[in-house]
Amino acid sequence: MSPVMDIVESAADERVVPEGLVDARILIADDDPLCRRLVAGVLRAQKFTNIAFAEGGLSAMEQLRRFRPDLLLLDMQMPDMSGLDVCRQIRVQADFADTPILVQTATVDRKKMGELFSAGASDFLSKPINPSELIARVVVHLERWNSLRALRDYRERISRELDAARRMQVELLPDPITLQWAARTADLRIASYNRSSSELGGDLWGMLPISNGAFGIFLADFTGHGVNAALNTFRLHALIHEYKALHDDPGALLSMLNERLVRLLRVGQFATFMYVVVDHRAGVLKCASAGAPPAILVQGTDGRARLCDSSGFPLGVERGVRYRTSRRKFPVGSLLLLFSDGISEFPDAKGERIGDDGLLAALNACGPALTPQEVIDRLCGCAGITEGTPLPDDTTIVCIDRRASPRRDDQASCDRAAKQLAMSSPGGGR
Amino acid sequence: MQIHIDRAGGQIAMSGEFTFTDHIPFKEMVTEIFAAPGRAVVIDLSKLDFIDSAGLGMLLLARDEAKKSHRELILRHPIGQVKRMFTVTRFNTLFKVEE
Amino acid sequence: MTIVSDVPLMDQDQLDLLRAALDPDELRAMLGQLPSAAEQGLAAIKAALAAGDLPQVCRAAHVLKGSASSFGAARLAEIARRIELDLTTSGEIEACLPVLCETVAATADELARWVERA
Repeated sequence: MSPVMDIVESAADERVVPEGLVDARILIADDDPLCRRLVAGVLRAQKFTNIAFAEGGLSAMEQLRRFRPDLLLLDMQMPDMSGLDVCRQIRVQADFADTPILVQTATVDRKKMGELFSAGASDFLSKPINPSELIARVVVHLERWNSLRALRDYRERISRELDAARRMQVELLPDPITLQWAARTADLRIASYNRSSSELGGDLWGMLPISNGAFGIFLADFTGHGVNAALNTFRLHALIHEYKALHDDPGALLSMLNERLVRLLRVGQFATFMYVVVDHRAGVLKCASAGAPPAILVQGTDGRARLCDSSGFPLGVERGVRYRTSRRKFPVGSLLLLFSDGISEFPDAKGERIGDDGLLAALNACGPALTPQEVIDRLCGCAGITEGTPLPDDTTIVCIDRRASPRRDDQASCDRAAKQLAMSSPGGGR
Repeated sequence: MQIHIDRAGGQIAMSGEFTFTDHIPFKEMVTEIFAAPGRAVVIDLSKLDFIDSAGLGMLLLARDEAKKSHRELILRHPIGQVKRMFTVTRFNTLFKVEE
Repeated sequence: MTIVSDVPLMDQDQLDLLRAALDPDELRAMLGQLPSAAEQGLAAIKAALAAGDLPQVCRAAHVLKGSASSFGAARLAEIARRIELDLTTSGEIEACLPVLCETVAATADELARWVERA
């Protein structure tokens, strides 16, 4: 045996086809039976078992449908159809747009090679058949194809799961009917806006019915966004409903939530939190805040919008924090705006942020005829948030409006205002 | 955000905006500075224009590292929005803040 | 026409590559089929030539070239290549037939020996 033979043989022995690939479905299309047998023999020697044959172009197209190959070995010149035409016809089918097609050709003509690739061939195999080259290229293309498919499957699965999670998160938010019922009972109007920066968000808001038409509104914002923050919103939602007895006592509720969260959250994670109990009968608000952005309050018909102090440790940072409840007047004609920093810190087209003061000014500029939803739309517009804008942070706005509902004779002016707004309306929310 | 580190002096100067996207470089920097010997670590915030809640969370991580390695962490001269955030979240009482 | 006997009858390197890559029995079986495939190719070329169908001559020569070259029948592959690509008239191809017949036979003999040895 010649030394050259030794090298060839040992190279063949070392060649190992990765385990996951030997089940790949390989279609060999060649009009010469001996060539088909040769290619199949080389593949079988490497433990490929799932092999089918086509005697020409038409039969290759038929086998494509029936056998659904993972890889096609295609002879360039067949009597009924050229390899180029077979390639083109395969590529127009969505199912086989990325299937590896290796074309066997004796041609080294550069122009013809160009045509081959533009017709959709993935690669070529030179003729006469070189077994090592055949196996090497088949393995490379199957691996590439496999990882592409794995990646696509993974993306599809993740996207389905994120979708399901997002629907669950939306279900945490107050449903419109309960909200409208609470609003009607308390003779006021509630509007809201909630959008995440990605599929899942770290913002959560909710309405907690208390008694005699009083209700609490909370707005939470966890550090970061995405899955991590979103899972924390589920924890918080469960905790809030665990402490029903504290729903009428904002300071006590925050103190309790903090004790629980401080034990649950990892260092560096926390939630800013604002909780307001709206008691329309007494005409008061009871508020407690854990480092949330300040609420904006318009007290009474002639009141100017003011920022309410909202300082306090965020929830989940320090043990043993006592949060205090502060009381504020909320007579007929008042309006309360709660928001997450997603709006106040939204960088507009110029990179500028409206800030708490900017929102305050924008709210002061809103006429009394605007509905609370229109107020929210106006504020979003002022911050530079429009319907399609991608948001860098999760954004929540809740507006509670005790100004008199528009009476019939006011309807016309209301419609005019609505029309004006429609131009810049960001929409969204629920 | 830009970070300038003076390892020997235990000094870090941050500038620009400190947000969610900076968590990897900041964590690396924290690990590095607390690995170096010394007593107090000073983070100079006088050129930091903006911090979001993720940025505040990262400062908490630095505080935790400082506690673990028995080092003092000093935040120096927050201004503007950063200072307001410190007030709203009472971070000015959690950290040793030098005006 | 240049003398094709310059081209070795068999391409030993190609045969070695096949031997390294294939099951020995399978290779023997395939090599055993090559002579009859070559005879068929030869018959197809003759028939097409008699019918004056030059494109069909090319196609038959192309198939013969493919199997011959892949199984290391270098001289046979070279003659088939010339018929397919270089020769343009039926006269030229006609003139080439004796050497093609001769080479088919010589290849068959050589393969028979090779199969016995292997």
